[in-house]
Amino acid sequence: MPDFLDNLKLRGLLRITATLLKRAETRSSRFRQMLGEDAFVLQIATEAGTGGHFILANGGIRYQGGVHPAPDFAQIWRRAGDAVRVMTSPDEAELMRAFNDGLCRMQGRFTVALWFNEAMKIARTKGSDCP
Amino acid sequence: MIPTAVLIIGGGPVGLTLALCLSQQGIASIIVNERTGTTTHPKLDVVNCRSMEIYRQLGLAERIRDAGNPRDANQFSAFAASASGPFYTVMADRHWIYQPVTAANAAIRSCNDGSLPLETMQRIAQMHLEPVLLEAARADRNVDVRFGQRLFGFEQDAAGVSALVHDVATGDPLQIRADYMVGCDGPNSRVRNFLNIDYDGTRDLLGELFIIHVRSDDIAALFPNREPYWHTWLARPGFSGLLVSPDAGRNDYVIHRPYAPRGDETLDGIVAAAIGTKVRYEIVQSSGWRPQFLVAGSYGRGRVWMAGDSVHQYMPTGGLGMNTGIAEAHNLAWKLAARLHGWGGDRLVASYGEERLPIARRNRDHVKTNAAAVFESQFPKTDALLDDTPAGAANRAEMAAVFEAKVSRLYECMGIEIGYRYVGSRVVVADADPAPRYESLTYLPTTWAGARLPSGFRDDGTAVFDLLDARGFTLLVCGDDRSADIDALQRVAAKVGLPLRTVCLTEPHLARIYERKYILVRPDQHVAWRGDALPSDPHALLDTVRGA
Repeated sequence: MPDFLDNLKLRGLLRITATLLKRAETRSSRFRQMLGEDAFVLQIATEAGTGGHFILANGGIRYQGGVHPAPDFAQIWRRAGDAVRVMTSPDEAELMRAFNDGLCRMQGRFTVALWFNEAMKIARTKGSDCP
Repeated sequence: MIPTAVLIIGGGPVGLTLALCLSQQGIASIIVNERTGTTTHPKLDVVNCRSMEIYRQLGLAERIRDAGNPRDANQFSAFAASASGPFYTVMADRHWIYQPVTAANAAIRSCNDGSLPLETMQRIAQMHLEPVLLEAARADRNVDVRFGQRLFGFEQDAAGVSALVHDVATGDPLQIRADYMVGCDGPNSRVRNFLNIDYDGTRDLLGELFIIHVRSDDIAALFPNREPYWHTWLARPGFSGLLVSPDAGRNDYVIHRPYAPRGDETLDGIVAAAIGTKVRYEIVQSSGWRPQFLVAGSYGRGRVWMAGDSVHQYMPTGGLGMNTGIAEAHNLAWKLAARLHGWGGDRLVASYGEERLPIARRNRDHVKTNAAAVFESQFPKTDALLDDTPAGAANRAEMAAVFEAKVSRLYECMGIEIGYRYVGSRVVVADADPAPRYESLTYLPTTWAGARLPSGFRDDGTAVFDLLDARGFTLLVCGDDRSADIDALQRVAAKVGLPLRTVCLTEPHLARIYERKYILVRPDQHVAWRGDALPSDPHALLDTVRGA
């Protein structure tokens, strides 16, 4: 039962993240600039396949549930609950802690993770403070 | 009110280097520095090849080498479970940059195709570099070093800058009037804040990392010949980090971790995990720090400019923080001097920011990719990594291969170090040819206008760089030439007060490196113009390169 709830939370969190990113597109000039800086598929999912992926292409970002066959960067979590905890933590270093503790594996280009970190920081910024 | 030509805020390596570069140009400066002494933290651990070329021009290269890693000691980078092993790989022979200074500089002197820098890098801690620079500055009659004084505020007008400085201990005010002011005052630059110039990036992408400075006489014994490697990157299940030995001849070490200690972790526990065996050590200091990938929106305006960490903050993956600042000081000094001597035009000083800002952004992108490469080198790690099994051996081999493929870019990046070009600069005569190929990791020598002049040696062993005029322009003539056009150029240079030296190079191999018969080289060793014939209008050429 806790796993089921955590899986639901992870799916919900990823969808909310997608909404925040869309909102940032209208509010932040820096974010709009970032949309044209790269093209990739970033995936956040559990080993069991719960999760989704973000696709940055043609100057826009969109989200799709489910597993992508060849993401450019992937976080693979043992448990959805750890993914939710780390993604909602204000401490950016939590991801590396989780990696060192064996709670998640990573594959691919880490510059994609850095892009996503920056995008999320902008997306979470209050409207008037948006860069 | 104390008058000076240039007021420098900040007496770290960039501020001190700027003062010494200005002095070489015959310009006096005052350095104001809030701290009362040089840093006691190892901080940076490398003066890169380009910076060593600049220090050679200043006559300081050998003094810096004397203060740093012994000339015959390694500059290796390794990947290991801990300092006591097992080692997955050691990058020692795959590139000349890892070789000891003596061997690397011998390789440089035996290479005559322009593909190598004039000087190899120097492994040295900032706390040992700064005293060398400070001693040189204090011994220099053109430099007035004032430690323990802090910038309170300033105003600039059309003719100069009036600054109010406070003594940190007493609060006594001091007014300084300068023709120019340069902020070399670090990441929290007051000068940048007063100018209301912000960074163009987003802060804290990686959160808080952690650093422990330890002293130990025992750690060296863990390495062959008691000679610790420069960098030992660490990875095993449950632990990752970096052990830095800024100088194999000393007992200072720095341990980096990708996050601060957790509740149940102790500093001693982290040291033990990094070293992997019991050694005696002393923890000197420790702290969290936040790596950044930031570049200021501009480098200044009017008579107030900035250099170094005040205009860019980089994660030190690639050692480009201070080294970018050294090149900035070198670029700015001759331009300020040219203005102050009267031969520099209105556009010359502003070209400093125009030329260097794109390089700062390029370097920021490079260190960001480097940082990602460091994290990616950890990705193949499995729970079987240290097992004495075929799976463990295979995992260790994979870790070694990935490390060499990815992390080598932090060290083997001559394109970044010496391959930068001032594309589109208003004080460089646009080259008739399209820009030649550029690679960040491999230096492709070119005299394309705006590029750093490739380094070469004459048949008698003299470095061409040593023949260049540090206080003026140098016209390199490939072949013996006494044409009247050179005399005409010299006459125009003399008329506008621009120092111009002519150097004829008769060696065929230098003619191949330099690609054109004539190369006009700036005081900062960058090509201002090139051609196979001197232009019919020497006034226009010299007006462009002096920003008139």
